[in-house]
Amino acid sequence: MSKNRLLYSECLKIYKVSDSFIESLHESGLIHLERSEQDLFIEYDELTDLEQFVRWHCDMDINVPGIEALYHMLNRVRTLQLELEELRNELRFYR
Amino acid sequence: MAYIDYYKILGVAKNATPDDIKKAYRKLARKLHPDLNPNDKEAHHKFQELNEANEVLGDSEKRAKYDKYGENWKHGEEYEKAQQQRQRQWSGGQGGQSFDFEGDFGGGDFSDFFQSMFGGGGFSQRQSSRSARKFKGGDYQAELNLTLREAMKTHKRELNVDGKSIRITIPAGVSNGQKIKLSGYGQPGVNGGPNGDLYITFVIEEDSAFKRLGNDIYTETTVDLYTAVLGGEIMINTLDGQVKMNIKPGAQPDSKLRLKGKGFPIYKKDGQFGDLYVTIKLRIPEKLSDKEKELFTELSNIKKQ
Repeated sequence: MSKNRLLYSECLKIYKVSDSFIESLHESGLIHLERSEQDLFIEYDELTDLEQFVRWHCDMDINVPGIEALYHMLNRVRTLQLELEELRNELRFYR
Repeated sequence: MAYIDYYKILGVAKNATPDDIKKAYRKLARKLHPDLNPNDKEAHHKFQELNEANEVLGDSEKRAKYDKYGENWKHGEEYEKAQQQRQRQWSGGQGGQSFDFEGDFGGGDFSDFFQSMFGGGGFSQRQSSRSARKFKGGDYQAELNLTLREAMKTHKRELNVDGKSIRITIPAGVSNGQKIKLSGYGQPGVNGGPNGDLYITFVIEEDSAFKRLGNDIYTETTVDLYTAVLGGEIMINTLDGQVKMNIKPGAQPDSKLRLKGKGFPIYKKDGQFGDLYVTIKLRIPEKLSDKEKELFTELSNIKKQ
């Protein structure tokens, strides 16, 4: 196993998810799998997102299209939270 | 330590089927999941309770034990064992941390009630929760307070994370609420997985003399009547020491003067700064001598002519 990436087959064992689930995440662009010679890998940097998607799938029974929608929606929420923080800072100035 | 009604937490009847429990758990998880409720401590706590309820009621053995003892759980074997152990042991607090860390939900937090009844063995392998599917360590969230003056200089800070000391560089110009990520400084990975990350949110304290808006700084200065009328030079306090400023004759109260490049450093843009805005406050002389009164009256009469 490379230092900063996880072998795809290991990934399936660790997260106890199906092949099709990870492949669907890859196809929808939510995670990226890399091929190196014969093997497929996932970069460690992608694990935070992957673990989040696995949680959504297992805890809330959300399928990949749902995960995709939720992911984009949460990113939007984060952007709005940043905007809110900036506006709060501005408001603090006028108080 | 109080009895916890897991049926109530899941909102199911005592005769609920495993399928009812699974459905109830998922329905509530969709509402309370920490991923969907970032920075909401109450939702986080409720989700932990929900997981615990699901862990107990979703496992036939645990559920049978829970149902058997019910509110008389203090007579259970594990409780008695735990009590005995408590009498033998004493564990001190961790202490020594420079600020509070809040880990993300690792799934390992159980109530005292759960541990007394089922021991501290953690979630079962049956459980489909996150705990059984962890590889990367959990992230830490921390807040770091800085004064406005500290935030304007690139400086190093030493932090204590899990007993290890780390030195971080805080770039000049960080803003209130800004978050930075320190990769690999979170909780240790599971089974050889990578460590989690440390997220630090900066909280910039307000300054009594200077206010910040973006990269610009605002302050006030008091000018005496004569300098305002006739003009002159005054010394202005900036975040970086004093500077000389010219006041033009006829300066109006509450007018703003701009000192270009004397504001806050722009984040990660070396050598670039915002501006400093100085609001002129006028000081009117209060106790006039007879001579001054006479001269002001003369001035007033000249204006009337």
